[in-house]
Amino acid sequence: MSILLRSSLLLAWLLLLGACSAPQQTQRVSAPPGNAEAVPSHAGNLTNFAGNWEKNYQLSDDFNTKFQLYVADVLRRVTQGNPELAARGGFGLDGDAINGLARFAEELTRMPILDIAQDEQGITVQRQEDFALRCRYRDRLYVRDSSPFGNELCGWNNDKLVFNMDLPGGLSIVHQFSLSPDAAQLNVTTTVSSDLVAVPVIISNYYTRYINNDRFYDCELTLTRNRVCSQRGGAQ
Amino acid sequence: MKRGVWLCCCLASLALGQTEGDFLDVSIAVFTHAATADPAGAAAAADDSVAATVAAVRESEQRLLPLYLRYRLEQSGRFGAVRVLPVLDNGAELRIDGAILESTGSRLALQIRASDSLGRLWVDQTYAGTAIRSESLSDDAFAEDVFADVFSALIRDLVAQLEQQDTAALRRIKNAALVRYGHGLVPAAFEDFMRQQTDGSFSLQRLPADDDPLLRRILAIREREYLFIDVVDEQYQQFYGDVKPVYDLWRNVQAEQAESSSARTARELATPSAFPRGSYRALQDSYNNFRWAKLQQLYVEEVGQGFTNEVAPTQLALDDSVYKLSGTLEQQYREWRGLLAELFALETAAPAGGTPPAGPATNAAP
Repeated sequence: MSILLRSSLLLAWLLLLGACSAPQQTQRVSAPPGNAEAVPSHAGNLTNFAGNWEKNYQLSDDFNTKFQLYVADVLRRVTQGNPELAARGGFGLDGDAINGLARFAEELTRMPILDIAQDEQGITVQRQEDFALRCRYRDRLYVRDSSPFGNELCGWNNDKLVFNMDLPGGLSIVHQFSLSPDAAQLNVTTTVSSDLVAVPVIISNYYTRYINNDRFYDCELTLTRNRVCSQRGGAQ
Repeated sequence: MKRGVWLCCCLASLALGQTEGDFLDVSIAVFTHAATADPAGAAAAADDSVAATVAAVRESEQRLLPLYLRYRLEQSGRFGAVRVLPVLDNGAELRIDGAILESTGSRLALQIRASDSLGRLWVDQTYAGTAIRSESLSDDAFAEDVFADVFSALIRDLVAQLEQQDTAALRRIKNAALVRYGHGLVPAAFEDFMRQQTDGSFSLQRLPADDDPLLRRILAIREREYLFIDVVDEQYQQFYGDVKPVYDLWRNVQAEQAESSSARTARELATPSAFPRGSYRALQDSYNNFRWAKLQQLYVEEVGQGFTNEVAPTQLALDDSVYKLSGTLEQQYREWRGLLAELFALETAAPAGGTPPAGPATNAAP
């Protein structure tokens, strides 16, 4: 299949994807800047990501644009006869693999809401429709977690928190969390790679804080009564 | 002994020709956890919440399992009062110590040691089994357990030992318990009544006279102690009623989750992805498996957290009560010991100047 044919197939898929991936409207209320609580950007010596975050679609990568640039980048590297690609035995030109990686990366990085709890011992990033990212980074060491279905490594890279997942089938995912200096913006940069595609897909998403009404409640999980909540500072 | 259990014992005794005096009282110590000595268990847990769950579960089962044994012993109708105690007194007629060797939702292994007041071993072995889940028609939920068979085997062995004891032997065990109890309070006064054999067992040399004032005091003190023990016992019963259903649920969830998880892991690993490597479906497949494994891990931890949250207040309340009562009892013991030692010194300083009044020597050499 010629490169031109492949790129036209990719672009056709891109158009289809574009129709499906319009920014979603959330019912969440953004914290008004004037009333926003002052959030310290560091908990001890660690960057403090704790809080409720919603995706800022204006600042975040537009996937369609990103995908066009990605394809252009792949094509440019190929046409320039990048020796790195040549060394990979021609990998990087597999249209299905490029297509698949991009589509997978788009789905993976939707994450419209992030609820983050953090203390000196670790962090839990609750994500809608996906498992919570957790890192127990005691002593700021990298923490490895292995299962038959993949290996995870997490820890601090200076002020950035990194989750690295190596999964079977040559799939690798890296989420990197960082905070703007004023702690108002959370950036999550996700790098998705496949060993069949020379160029990884990199998506950068921005999040801003929102007011979560759950903060008025103290909830506790129990085994026989599920989640038991009581009004903060009041009766159950 | 509780009324219902007592009725049970009476009915059993009618059938067996036993009288109240023939029933041996049983003291069960709170079990130890074999893994507690090995810090690898809880301490090596990667996560604080996991370590907290391991600790909470262990602490609960150290108490729940002996309490369940207690119910089963009472149900058998073959023993007298059965008590679970934080620390065993040395005057127990039949004492049971247990260590939890393994406890998962699907398997239980206990090392049980039971000995009578004469120091003779009744049981010293491992009881193990796998969980058997069944619906019971019994209305006594407390007596139900997925590891009921493990306890049934233990009770069978205890009853078999009991049946080898004739009335005189039971009487000797009871007397020895009283003498050992007295020895714990006033060692000097009871030294001559028992002798320890080379194999560690004891033989009764003689008994105090029935009207011996020291013996009467000892009996009165033991009755007082029983009052304390019964209060502790009520706390344990409350704990059992509150925590057993939560513990059972936790155990079931653990077993079911472990079973389904290992089944899926084996299935997925045995079946290679049906999609071409690097394709969208193959990537999704790989990620979904990873996500499933992470969600399972989180679920187990959540269940553990739920268990800890639910039992923690009850455990704290029990710890508090037992601590206070034990402290009070210990204080009482100190006072009793001091008082009795003084009385004994006064009595033995009397003209006779020798040993305390003694009854006829028993022919109770074991």
